[in-house]
Amino acid sequence: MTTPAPPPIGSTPFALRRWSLEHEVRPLFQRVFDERPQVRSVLLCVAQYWADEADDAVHGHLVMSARDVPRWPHRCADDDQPGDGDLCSYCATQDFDDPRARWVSWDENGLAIRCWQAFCLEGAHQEEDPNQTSAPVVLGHRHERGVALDFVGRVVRPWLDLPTTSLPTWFLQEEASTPLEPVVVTPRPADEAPFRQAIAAAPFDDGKRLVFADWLQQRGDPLGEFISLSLARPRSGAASMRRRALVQEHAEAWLGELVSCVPPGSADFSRGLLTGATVCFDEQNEPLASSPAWATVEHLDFADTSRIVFSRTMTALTSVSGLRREGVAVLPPTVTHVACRPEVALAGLPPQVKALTVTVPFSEAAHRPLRAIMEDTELTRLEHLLVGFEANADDDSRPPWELVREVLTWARARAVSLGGWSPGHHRVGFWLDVRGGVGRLSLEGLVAFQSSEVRAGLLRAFRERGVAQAPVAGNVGASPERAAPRIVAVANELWNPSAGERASFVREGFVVEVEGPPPAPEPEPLPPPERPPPRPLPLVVDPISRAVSLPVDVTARSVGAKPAKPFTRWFELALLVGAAVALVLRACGSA
Amino acid sequence: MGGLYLALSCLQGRPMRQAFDTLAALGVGVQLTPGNEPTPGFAQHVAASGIPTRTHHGFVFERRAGKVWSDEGACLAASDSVHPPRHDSPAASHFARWLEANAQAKVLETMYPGYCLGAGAALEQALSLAVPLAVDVSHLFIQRTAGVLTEGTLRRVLDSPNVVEVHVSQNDGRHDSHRPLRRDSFELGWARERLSSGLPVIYEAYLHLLSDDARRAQLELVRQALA
Repeated sequence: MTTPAPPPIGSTPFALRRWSLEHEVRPLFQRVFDERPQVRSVLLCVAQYWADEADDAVHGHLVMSARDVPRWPHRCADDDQPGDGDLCSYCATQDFDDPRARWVSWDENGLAIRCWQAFCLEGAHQEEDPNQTSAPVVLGHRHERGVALDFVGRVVRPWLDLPTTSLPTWFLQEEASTPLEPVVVTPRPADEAPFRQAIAAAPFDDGKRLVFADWLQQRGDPLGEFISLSLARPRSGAASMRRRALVQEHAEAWLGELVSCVPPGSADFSRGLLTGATVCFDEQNEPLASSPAWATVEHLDFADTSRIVFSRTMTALTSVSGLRREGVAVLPPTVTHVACRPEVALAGLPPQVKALTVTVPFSEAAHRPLRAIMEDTELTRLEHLLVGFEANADDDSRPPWELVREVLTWARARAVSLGGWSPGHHRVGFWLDVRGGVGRLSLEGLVAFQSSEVRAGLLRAFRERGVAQAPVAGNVGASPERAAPRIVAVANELWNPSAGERASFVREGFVVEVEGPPPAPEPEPLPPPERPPPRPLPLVVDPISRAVSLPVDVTARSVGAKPAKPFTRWFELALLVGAAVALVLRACGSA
Repeated sequence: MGGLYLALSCLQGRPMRQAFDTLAALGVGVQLTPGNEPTPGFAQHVAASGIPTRTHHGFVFERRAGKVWSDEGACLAASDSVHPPRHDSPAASHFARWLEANAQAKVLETMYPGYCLGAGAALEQALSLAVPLAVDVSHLFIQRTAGVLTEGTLRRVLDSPNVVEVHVSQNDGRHDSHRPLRRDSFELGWARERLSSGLPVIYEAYLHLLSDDARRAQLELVRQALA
């Protein structure tokens, strides 16, 4: 079956990505599942790094796993250490040309750039480990009807996921006159207006949305089915899969006129209509801030390049991230949660802000701004402080555990969350959420950033903080000052504390309980490729001087070159045999 | 004009205007290079900024990059300096002839294996033709590591009066990965001398992940003599 041609390169990144997911990623994942029956999940990771020529190639590789979710970061097995049981494109075989490695074979200098660059980390380079250069974007699972794709990528560079994003450099150098495809925004039917107005008047009333969904479904509009699926509780696996397929197909269209300022890759439709988004306002599209489409948006993230603009139509807005100083004075009164740099918070936040999220380096540099926040008299009114430590720190960085203890001490009357942020500002690794003196410890996201060290440090800091807010059950009459801190270990598919680990929590002085599903048996690790036995070095010992030398093959290729293949190609053998037979026949003929 | 410049590609991938403003705030000039997302009105913004600028290779205001060499070997770019063609490009087969006829027409950057002017022999020819050179010390490091540049040729290049521009960054000798400088970065001392003598020196390492303080420290590393 031939693959349909992709849309023109000047199409929107969303349209190209939709094609890539269906005709590049899905077939690739299917081949992995067909060839390796033990594999249950596959993770596609992307990276972009440039050479001096402004090659903006986007590279992809896979992590294949017998688990429900591949481990990330992935640890390849080698001579020095066992792997993590998963296999990646680098370690799946010994032969770089073996297709079973399942390298991602898309056009790195073409379509892939426009599809995926917005999800790639900045500053990556060829000398780094793939765990540092790459970002997970698509998770695939076996499904009775083929492959279920789950989009897990986060937009890191929103300005590269807009219809106006420029074309790749290599393409431009060949065909400089190629224009961007015009973006056609189909207005929603006018008779939707009463429903949307009712929802705007009561944005948190699911009933109004369900009425709208029924009306849409009667008209065969897929948005109706999507709203119903989004609000359904509980939601079946099939329903989740259907919902994901709908948003992958229609997200750009559902953005309507906002497509010029909201990267579709960042759009959150968790409650059926646009619920959250990253926004890129500039001089030209700023008027879109007044669109009635913002009425259902509850959280807004301003890209680094965006103007900070609010409007009266943002009636449901409760959470803002990427806030800068110029936006503080115009923050809508409905916003109670702000994410910003520490210096913005210290410059003063409106009194309605009760929850603050700050991102700080995962190093000593975090001390000053966080201490300043805790000492600020205005900020003592905060009810929740969330501190995200940047998860792209250098290897030499150490978590500031003293600072963590201070934050937890400050939190005696408040809720505090501590953990790692990915470059896309989502929870990664171990997180400690403290409320009412009880710490909930969980491992979140796909990136297990320095997991064991972070977990141990968070627990140590929480224990040393001292005291639970409430007496522990069974310790009635005991002084609260001597009550053991309580830990709720939240188990999930990434982390399920073993009996031994639970016992270690108790030894460290915690009262611990585990919350979550019963532990699933760990699958057999995927078999690593067979490694040839090590060859002994052809040392030469001089019989007289006893000097030892190692003859160097001056014809050998440089390190890193692919090794010369043994003579294994059958067709070449057939040619040789055929030539030999021809010679024999000719000799017999002449004889 | 001499002095220290930051390449726009230090924040490669970011919108042009945002990258320019961030780099200009560090108090040095900006070399406009390809690879950033075009921003409407950027040309006017640069003109109004008063920041010293230079242009390099395929930089154009309206697109992420422009074509530099035609398939027939003509140089199409109007930039202050350009890369010579890659060996696998159609222009490469015409480059020797172009060089003979246009030796002083364009400032050409010293490259690494895979490019014209990517090995010692080609550099010797450029020296003999008095080609104005943009010497990228990190590229020369890759040539040295690859074994295609002798010490003698290296010294002749660095001592040449035809060096009119200098580029600095760090790499491991295998990839042109634009890492932040270290005190022992290849020929950093020579680059400092050229800066002192009035040549433009372009800092090209990627700065995305560095704090403002770290970026300023990098520029000081170029300015200051070794302790």
